[in-house]
Amino acid sequence: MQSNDIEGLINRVAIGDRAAFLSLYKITSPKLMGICLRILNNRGDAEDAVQEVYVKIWQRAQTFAAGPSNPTAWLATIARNHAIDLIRARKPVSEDLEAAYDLADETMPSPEAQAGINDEGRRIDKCMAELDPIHAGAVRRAYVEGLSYLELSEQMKVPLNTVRTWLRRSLLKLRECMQR
Amino acid sequence: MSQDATTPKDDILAGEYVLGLLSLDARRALERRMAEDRSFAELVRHWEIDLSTFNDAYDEVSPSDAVLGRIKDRLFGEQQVAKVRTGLWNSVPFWRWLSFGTSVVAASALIYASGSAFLRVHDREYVAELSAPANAVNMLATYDSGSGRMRIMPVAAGPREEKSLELWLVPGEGDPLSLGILPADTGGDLVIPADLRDRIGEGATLAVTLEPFGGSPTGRATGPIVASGTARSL
Repeated sequence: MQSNDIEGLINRVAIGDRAAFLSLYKITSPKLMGICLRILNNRGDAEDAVQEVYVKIWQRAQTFAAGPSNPTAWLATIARNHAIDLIRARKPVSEDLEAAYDLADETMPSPEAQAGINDEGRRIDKCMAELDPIHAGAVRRAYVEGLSYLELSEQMKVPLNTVRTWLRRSLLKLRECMQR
Repeated sequence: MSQDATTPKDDILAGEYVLGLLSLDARRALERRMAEDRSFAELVRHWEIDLSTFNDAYDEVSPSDAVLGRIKDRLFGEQQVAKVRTGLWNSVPFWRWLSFGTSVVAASALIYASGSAFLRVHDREYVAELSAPANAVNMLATYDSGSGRMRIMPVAAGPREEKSLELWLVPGEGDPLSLGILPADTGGDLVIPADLRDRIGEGATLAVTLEPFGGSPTGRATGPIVASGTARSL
């Protein structure tokens, strides 16, 4: 996918250009279908989700901010969020937002607002390589498969609190690494 | 970019949200926070971009052809409106496919309002509400497929009790003269007072302001100008 082309199409969709919307669908729907299918694990559900995702894209195109924002990431985020919401609604997990925060005392610099945002994709790979491989694998699986803490804990056969600590510590390290 | 309100814990929470680890309730709670807390929303946006390289792991899979058809039906499906001239405020199908600069649209609408444009009611008429976030004014487009005639009229956004749109003739010198309130229910038709009709012609400047319901209480424009333009003969 050419980022510039996609950005142009999204901007045209924002002013109600149907032809641009159809082009955008043609170019991007296989990727968004792939996202929905991976998370929902069912072709019919994924196609229903894709339908909803493109309705949202049509409705939200005006909120797409050109500039540092990445058009393909923007589209993928809409698809991932929709699919994750569906799977969470179907298989509820209880979650205490305040659960087991043993990391709060560790200091972490605030993220720089805009700096080098286009390079961050490459930097995350470097930073992922600095994590314990098992923890990095858990981060990646959580993202790609849309797994909850509970599902990760079951699939990786480690206690829930352990997984939670791995992930939170990994996020902390990733953020620190990205700041360098 | 203010980061002062967020803590390391917030940054981890934002990361957990983006990874998709949290429950539906927690996700909704964080989305509400994002709507109100720009610093937190910024943390989320950072993670979304940082982690987006993981999207490479998703294979491309074409959805079946029927999916696009269903999307088109949802978004662009022909929606017949039996009575275009009544009840528009209550049920305007979201048939949005046009976007103009507000003033251009308003100016053409005004020309229709002042000219002889007449929209006959045919079997198939469509209506679209043209809007943009945070605008004081939306445009309402009606289209008659029989004649091919499209009419676009401005309507005050929000409950109609609150505001009216008032049309003004702007002379070269002196105060604008009120030509009346743009009615929402009558298809944009406005009967110009007889004594002002001679003054509307080629080159006349027209403007629309947002006024309290019923029009300016003082006889002079009090609200913001939402559109202005110069009339040309069609």
